[in-house]
Amino acid sequence: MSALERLGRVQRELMMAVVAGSVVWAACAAVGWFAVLAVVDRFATLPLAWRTAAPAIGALLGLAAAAWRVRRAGAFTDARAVALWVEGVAPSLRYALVTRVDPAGAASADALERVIAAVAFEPPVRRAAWQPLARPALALAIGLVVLLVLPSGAVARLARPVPGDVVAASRAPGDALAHVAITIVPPAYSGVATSRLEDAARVSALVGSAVRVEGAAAGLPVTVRADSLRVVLRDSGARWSADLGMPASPTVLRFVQGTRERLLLLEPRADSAPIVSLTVPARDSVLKSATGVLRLAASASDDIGLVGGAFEVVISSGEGENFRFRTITVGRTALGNVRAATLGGGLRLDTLKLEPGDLLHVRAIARDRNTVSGPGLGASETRAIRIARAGEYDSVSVDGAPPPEVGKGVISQRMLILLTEKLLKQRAAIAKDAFVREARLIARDQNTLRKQVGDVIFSRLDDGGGGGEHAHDDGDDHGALTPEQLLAAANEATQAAGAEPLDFAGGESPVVNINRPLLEAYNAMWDAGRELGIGDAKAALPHMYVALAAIQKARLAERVYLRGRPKEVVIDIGRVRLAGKSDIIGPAARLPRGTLDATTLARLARFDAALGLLATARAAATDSLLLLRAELLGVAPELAAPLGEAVDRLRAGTDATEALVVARRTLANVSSHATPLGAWGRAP
Amino acid sequence: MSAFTFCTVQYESGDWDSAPLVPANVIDSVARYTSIEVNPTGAIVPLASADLLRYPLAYLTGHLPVRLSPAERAMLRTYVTRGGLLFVDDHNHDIDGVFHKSATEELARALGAPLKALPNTHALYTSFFKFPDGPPTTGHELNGWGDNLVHANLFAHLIGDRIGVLYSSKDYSSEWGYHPDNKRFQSVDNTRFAVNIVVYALTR
Repeated sequence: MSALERLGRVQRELMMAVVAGSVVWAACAAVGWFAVLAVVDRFATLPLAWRTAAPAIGALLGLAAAAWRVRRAGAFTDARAVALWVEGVAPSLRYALVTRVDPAGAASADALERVIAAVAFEPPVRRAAWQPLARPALALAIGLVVLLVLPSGAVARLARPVPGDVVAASRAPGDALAHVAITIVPPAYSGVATSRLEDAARVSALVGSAVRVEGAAAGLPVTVRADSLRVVLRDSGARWSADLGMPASPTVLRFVQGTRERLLLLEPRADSAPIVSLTVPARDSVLKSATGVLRLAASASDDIGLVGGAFEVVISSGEGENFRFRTITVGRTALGNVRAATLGGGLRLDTLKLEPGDLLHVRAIARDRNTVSGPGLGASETRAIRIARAGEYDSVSVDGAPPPEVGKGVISQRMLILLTEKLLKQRAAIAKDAFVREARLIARDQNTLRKQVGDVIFSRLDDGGGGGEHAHDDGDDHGALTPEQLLAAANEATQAAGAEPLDFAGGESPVVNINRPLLEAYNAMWDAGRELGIGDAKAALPHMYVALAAIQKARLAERVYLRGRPKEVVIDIGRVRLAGKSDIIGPAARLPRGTLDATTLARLARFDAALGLLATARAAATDSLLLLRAELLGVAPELAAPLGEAVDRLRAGTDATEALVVARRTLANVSSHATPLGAWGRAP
Repeated sequence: MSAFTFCTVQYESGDWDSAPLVPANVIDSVARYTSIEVNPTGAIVPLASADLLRYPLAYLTGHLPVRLSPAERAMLRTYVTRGGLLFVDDHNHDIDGVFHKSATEELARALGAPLKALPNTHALYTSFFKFPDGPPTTGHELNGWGDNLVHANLFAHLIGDRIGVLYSSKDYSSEWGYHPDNKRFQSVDNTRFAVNIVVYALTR
């Protein structure tokens, strides 16, 4: 065998030694970690969280140790490095092996082969390669021995930690309440899996859940006090347990052993009834006749599961004091424990023998699968479908409109002319009194229209639109013309127009200057109203024609908007530029907080007393807060919520300062403002 | 330097006050988009009055025929010559309408030359906001009101390269005739071109 072949065999053996060393070191690290933890857990019970993380940490340690060893294998991939390492182990080679590997020594290969053949370097090399594994192997063996000699279950507590196994490892002599495990078996109908808690201060579960509290028996027997709750207490020698059902109201369990006491707050969670919404028909309605199919649709949801649903229809017939009712159910559907479902169905109205005036009350219902407190029944809102009676068809489904504003109705000039002409045609057929009465009614409408025209005239002046005849009628004398003055202006305008074309270049009032056509109409309306007022409809008609012509002229001449001239808009420059100041909006006044009522003060006193105990008796303080929470759960759940977090933190031994601050602020009804930055957005 | 005041021209014929909300809307836009000192209300000045010379920009609109008196014609000529900018907008948006025919005729008579089409590359369209396509179209143009045309450009009387009279058939008077508070309902403020006219009048 040549020197190079021998060197190759050595190289492969070195690689194997490195791989084996990595495995041994990895196992040593992992087993050592478990052994140390197991020993520590034996004397000081480790929290569940630590034990849950232990396997992952052990695996990481093993991988790290293996990686540390494997990195050495890289040095043995090079034959020259291996040769050099062999030279160090077997100095009698006198560098012949290194020279033989080097290509520069090929010329004297035969001489080198003879020197190398004379040295048996494999035995020392083998010893040097495998000997370093002895120590980790020994450590691994010691670790395994330690794990083997530990009591049964100690390794399982680390390898497969489960909530509640703390009880088995409890090492508090004489203290049966040091650790408790709580097993919650929800009602079968809920389909929720069994859960276990460890050293919890409060238990939240569905009403009817089976709750078992367990602890290690040590010293004096354990008793339990619960107000009206039936608790079955058992003592098996090594363990004690208490079985109970989750009550419907918050209850505090007091486990007592001698002078020691441990509180457990039971917080029941009620199974909510199904939530049902009727989607079709979407609103109440009136049907003209009881024919066809009334489509029904609804949606339902539940926190646990739905068993079935249906539509309930209550039909009421009759009127007055004689009513009959009948109830039918349609669209019954089995829902198979789904959490959300839709219901559908149809109601054939023809088959219900409905009469006009009958009323259908339609609602959807759904049941959940609660077998403990009875199936929860959820019902939707009810829709009323009425069958219309004969003679009311023209009044159904008509939304009432507000009545027109009194005195605002205006009849057009054209319509007034038509009414007057019609009245004149009837003159021979009706009595004089009736004729005059009708003429005066038209005169009233004519005067109303005249006042409207007067308002238009004045609204176009720069008096803010508050002029016209009404200003005078209302007694608000701010410069507006009286009807007489207005009439005089109109007369002046129209008389001048009758003589010759007007020249409005100057000297006229603005009323005439702007409104000549409307003033003509106003003047004619005044004459028409006067004639109609005395019953002379025939004499009124020419004036009415003139008024209509003037209005048409005004309309053709320019656009007349009867809604009037818009008011001048003054721009608030500061507001537009977002630089304005408001005199009416200021910071809210700081008011002293109101006096707290006696109940709140009493709760605060209890809270403060518990806080005072924290420094010296943390457990007692926690129990006090727990009792306060139990009391508040029934009367003020919103106050109890922050207390729960504080209790949990105190029981877990973590910092509860923030939770206590929130709890006290909530109890004291101190409003707080949200911070503009989120929890992750702290300012640098 | 006094604050800018938007001036509406009052002329003796026609309905000079047909767009009463335009001044407020333009003032609002000037305040909103620029730092120009601006008075919160506009002024109404007779065309024949020498007071018109106190205002660098004057706005004239209406629906009815425009017939200028000799005094109005003379003041218009003086105003344009002395650096004022008269913005005339046809509230009828109708080149066959009485306002367009009479107003363009009167302007030509007063200025001594007919109005000419203003190129859409004129500095007016870049004086503040950028209008690369020339004057912005109005809702009345797009809806087919009036002459049913989308006018490609404005008309102007130029003094050198400065606009003395700017004439629009696009009916900005209707387009801008709403209360400024209602701008918030528009995705793009349609009064931005008014800012260009104001800035142009104040800087050229």
